[in-house]
Amino acid sequence: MKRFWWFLIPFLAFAVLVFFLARGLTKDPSYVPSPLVGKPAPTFNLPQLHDAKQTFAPEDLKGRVWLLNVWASWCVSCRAEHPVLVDFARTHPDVPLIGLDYKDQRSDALAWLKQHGNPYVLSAFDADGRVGIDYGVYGVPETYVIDQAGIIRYKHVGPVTSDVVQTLIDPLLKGLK
Amino acid sequence: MKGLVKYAVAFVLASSSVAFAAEAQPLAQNPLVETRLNAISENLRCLVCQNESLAGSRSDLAEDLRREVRHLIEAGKSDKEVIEFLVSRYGDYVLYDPPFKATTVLLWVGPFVLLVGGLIGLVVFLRRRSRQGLVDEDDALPLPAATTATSATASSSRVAGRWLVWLIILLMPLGGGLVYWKVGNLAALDPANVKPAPDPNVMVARLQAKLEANPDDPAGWQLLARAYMVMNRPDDAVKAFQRILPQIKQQPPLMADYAEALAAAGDLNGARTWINNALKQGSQDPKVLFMAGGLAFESANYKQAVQYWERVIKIVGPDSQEGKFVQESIAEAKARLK
Repeated sequence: MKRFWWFLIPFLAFAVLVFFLARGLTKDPSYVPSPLVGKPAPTFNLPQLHDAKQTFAPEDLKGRVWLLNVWASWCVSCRAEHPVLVDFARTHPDVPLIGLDYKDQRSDALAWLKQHGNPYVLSAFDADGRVGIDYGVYGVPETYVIDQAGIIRYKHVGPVTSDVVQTLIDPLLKGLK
Repeated sequence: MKGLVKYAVAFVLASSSVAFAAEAQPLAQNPLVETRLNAISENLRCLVCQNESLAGSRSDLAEDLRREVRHLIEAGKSDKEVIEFLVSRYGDYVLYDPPFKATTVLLWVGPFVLLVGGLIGLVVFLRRRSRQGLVDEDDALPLPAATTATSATASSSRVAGRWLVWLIILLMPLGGGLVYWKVGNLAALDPANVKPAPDPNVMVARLQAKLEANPDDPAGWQLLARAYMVMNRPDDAVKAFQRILPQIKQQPPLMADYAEALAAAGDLNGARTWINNALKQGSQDPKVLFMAGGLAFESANYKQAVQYWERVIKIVGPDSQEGKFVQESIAEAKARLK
């Protein structure tokens, strides 16, 4: 009987190994945890997309909970995400949705918004992607939830789905109010 | 007159070290900066194509990040500060060599814990086995002949078992060391072996020799030519460019680089030919347009110069470093128009 237990050990070890490998398979390997969550949103001062003479800085929204959505007219996933954002803007009039137009051409971006609708209060125009680097952007679209104190509370990489809004963003926004 | 072309060339040189923002330039102009950039980005992971280093990746983001790193190096930041810049934005994830801290304890210590645990388990198992002879009381073989045979060999197998344990304990670290000696990097363990940054003159000479031996490398010639421009050796730069004329003919930005070298070497007509070539291909490259303006200015065609330069402003923006410079040139041309 004693010997039986000894033989069980390799099997148990194997089972643990399989468990971890199987878990690894279900995770998204392209997901990079952001060190910025819980830290102040990097500051910037960029011209606005619709009016280059006006600028936008995150400090403009101090005291409010807001969303920063990084997008571009050349980004395919942004199109998939777009209806969700339009819907979000409609149902959350109290949460400003700010766009960060990342490495884009002004004319392309304006045409894109005209065609698909503009959910953003305004879009900041980040032509050379430098602000994107400050925010650790590595794949458009990305979305940040920023609280009253200007702290990044959540970062979503990839298109925001209605599921993400309901299960992650909405509860978070409720908690922040 | 000659003075202004010099001035124009100086502008192009000054601005090219900053690199036009709109056009991420894959090759740095300063070989020294490039060496450090390579050394740093070799150890950083590209976030888009995650099995590649930042140095090897051709993704857009990697190019942007290399541009940032280049700026930081040029601003005199240390390697540590540059890496800190990237880690604070993208996390430890970008490091191929993760630091030892609470979240990475398992990563660093885990293999050793497993090794020691395995060794202890092995020792316990073997000692028990040698103490009991080869047969466990629980399931001793029912054959009487076999039982007598085991007790006869018991003492010798006990000795053999003990030897086996010590042999394994000795061989495992030895094997590990052997593997590291073969595939690892012993030199890296000695801090005295960290090489000082090489002298740019030596590096450029070495690159030239390498290219002469293996001339089918357009990117290499381009790097060499740019290095010569930075070192204020335009004649050598022209010679390097001449080795890649077929490539230059296809790329207007390269034509501008070549024309810049020609102008700096004193061959204004040659420069004009190449810039006209680039314009004919409909190039919107700011450097092409700036050179076109400078050459128009040189032939006293101030109106045209202003037109070209205003197009440059539209591309690089009036507030950029280059934009401000171009505005000064425009003011100069307008003054002459009056």
